[in-house]
Amino acid sequence: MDFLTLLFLGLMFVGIYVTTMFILLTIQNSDKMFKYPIPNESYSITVIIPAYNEEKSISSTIKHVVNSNYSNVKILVVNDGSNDNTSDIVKKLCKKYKNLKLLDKSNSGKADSLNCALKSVKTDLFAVVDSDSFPANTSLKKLSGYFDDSKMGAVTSFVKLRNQHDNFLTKLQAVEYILMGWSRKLLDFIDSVYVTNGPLSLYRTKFVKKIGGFDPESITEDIDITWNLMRHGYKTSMCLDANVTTVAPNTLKSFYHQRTRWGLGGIQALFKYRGEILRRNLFGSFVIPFVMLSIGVSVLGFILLSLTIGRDISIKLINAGLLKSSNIGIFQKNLVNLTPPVILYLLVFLAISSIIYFTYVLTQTKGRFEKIHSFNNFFNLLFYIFVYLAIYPIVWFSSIFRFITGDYRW
Amino acid sequence: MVKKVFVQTLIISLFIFSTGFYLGDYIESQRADYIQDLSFKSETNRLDLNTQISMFDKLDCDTIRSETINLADDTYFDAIELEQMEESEVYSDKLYEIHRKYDLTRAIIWKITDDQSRCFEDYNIIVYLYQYLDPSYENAIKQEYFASLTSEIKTNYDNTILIPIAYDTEINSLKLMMNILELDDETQLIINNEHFVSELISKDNLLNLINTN
Repeated sequence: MDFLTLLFLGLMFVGIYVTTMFILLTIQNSDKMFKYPIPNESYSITVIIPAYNEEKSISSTIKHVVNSNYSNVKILVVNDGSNDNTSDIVKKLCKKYKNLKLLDKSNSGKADSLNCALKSVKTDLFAVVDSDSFPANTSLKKLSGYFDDSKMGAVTSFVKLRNQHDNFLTKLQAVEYILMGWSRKLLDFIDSVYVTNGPLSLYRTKFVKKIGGFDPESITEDIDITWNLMRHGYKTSMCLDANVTTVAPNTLKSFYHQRTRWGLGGIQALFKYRGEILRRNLFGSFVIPFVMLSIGVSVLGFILLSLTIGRDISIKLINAGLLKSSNIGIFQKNLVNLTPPVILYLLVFLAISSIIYFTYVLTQTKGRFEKIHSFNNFFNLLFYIFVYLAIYPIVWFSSIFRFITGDYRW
Repeated sequence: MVKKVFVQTLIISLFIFSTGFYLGDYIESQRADYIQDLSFKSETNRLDLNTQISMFDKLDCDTIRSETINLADDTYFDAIELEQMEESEVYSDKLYEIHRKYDLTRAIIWKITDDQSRCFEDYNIIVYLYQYLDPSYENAIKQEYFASLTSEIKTNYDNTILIPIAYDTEINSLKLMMNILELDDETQLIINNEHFVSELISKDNLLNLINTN
């Protein structure tokens, strides 16, 4: 058995392990997926909204937070040196809403803006809400109950897309967001939620201040803060029923840019926290290896497919061109190979398991998120599994390149 | 609770993986057995032909031709099946030795067509020498093309005997033949033991080298 075959079998095993784990967690926790703890006490909350040139959406974001059914809320908008009308719009709204404040500062990035805001936060908890994201009015209440656990450091929400019907790319992302949210909730059952997203996450102020706040050097401060909290032994969690809507990139260029940045942030975090790997806690023994394997399987799988199937396909294509130019039939009946390698059966098994499982997930979430996710197009799901996921590693290559060359631009 | 999930997952994954692995190995063994059966038949035919070679002086051309062509055709089609299964083989390399047997048979057929050339004057003998072990990308493209080209010629011209032989499976008799003909170890077509083609050639140019009557 050659090296590539061994590598393929290794990747297959990892794929089977992760799929099995998710299916097993789903079966064991099917009745708990959408449940959340009712808070025993009323925590004071500050909602921080960092904004940079968000004149189009800032007003709606603030209104959505104001309309929250959580009573004990302060809102702090951090204007990160916007050169549009963001500041003026917020100033006007400050007159209308007494619990709204504006912090104007020169541009220094999201993490630094959050740290500036954090200095003035006196509440038990604080939420971070992206300035283009609209939390549902019940979300803060649903998230707050998790903090009855004294070790809870951060709780994140389920992100839905407002613009999923823009085009095919946003439809695919809508599928992805559902699957990401679902899998993040499953990871919650093994205390391994490793990202508290930017659109809406709630943090315990005391813990975040204790660990030094957000890292301005990190290109994805939401991954970094979560890992930092986990490293210090604090818990993270996810509420699938607390949702927030946001806007996904609807052009390939903006999508590629966003995902490259996310990937770069992930690699940056792996590098920063590499010393924690295989420590005797879940963060070191599962979360970091899990993220490393996710990237590794994706990248190696892509290389492997390119080396094997890609090589064969390119040879067949070139041969087809040569045969055509020589007036020879492209398909020689004798030479058609109807005996696929048995190793492909494992891949087929994995693909079929994924299709069934993902279909189940979409069916489960459809009833709850019907207004936003009326998605039931099987073709889109197949395209997502066989094309989107297959070519997504290109983003990882770009992220790795940016990491190696030190290109940390937002 | 958390540890329990990891252990449960590991057990189930190992079960699925090992089941798939052994199933794959079993399917490959079945394929190898099938090819083994074909090769037994081919081996018997080869021994039969070897015996007949000693009598060739006393046999007429029709008999020699008929016996040789039958074996060449049987070997050609069996070998295609063999190679397709070899391409799909992952877990073992059981088929390699069987491949060598076929190469030996085909080397003998080539030798007969050369020795008894008087009986094959109206025939085109196309010997296709190819690299079996790890061909480079460029060579793989050339071989894919040569395989299709020669298959097309064989299909369209009944008077064609096609003898594909791997030159790198350590068959000594083949090496000796190649030495006699001063042939290098490279992918090439040998047309009627007269024309040697090692570069890509169009169908029309190849037809110019063979007897299309």
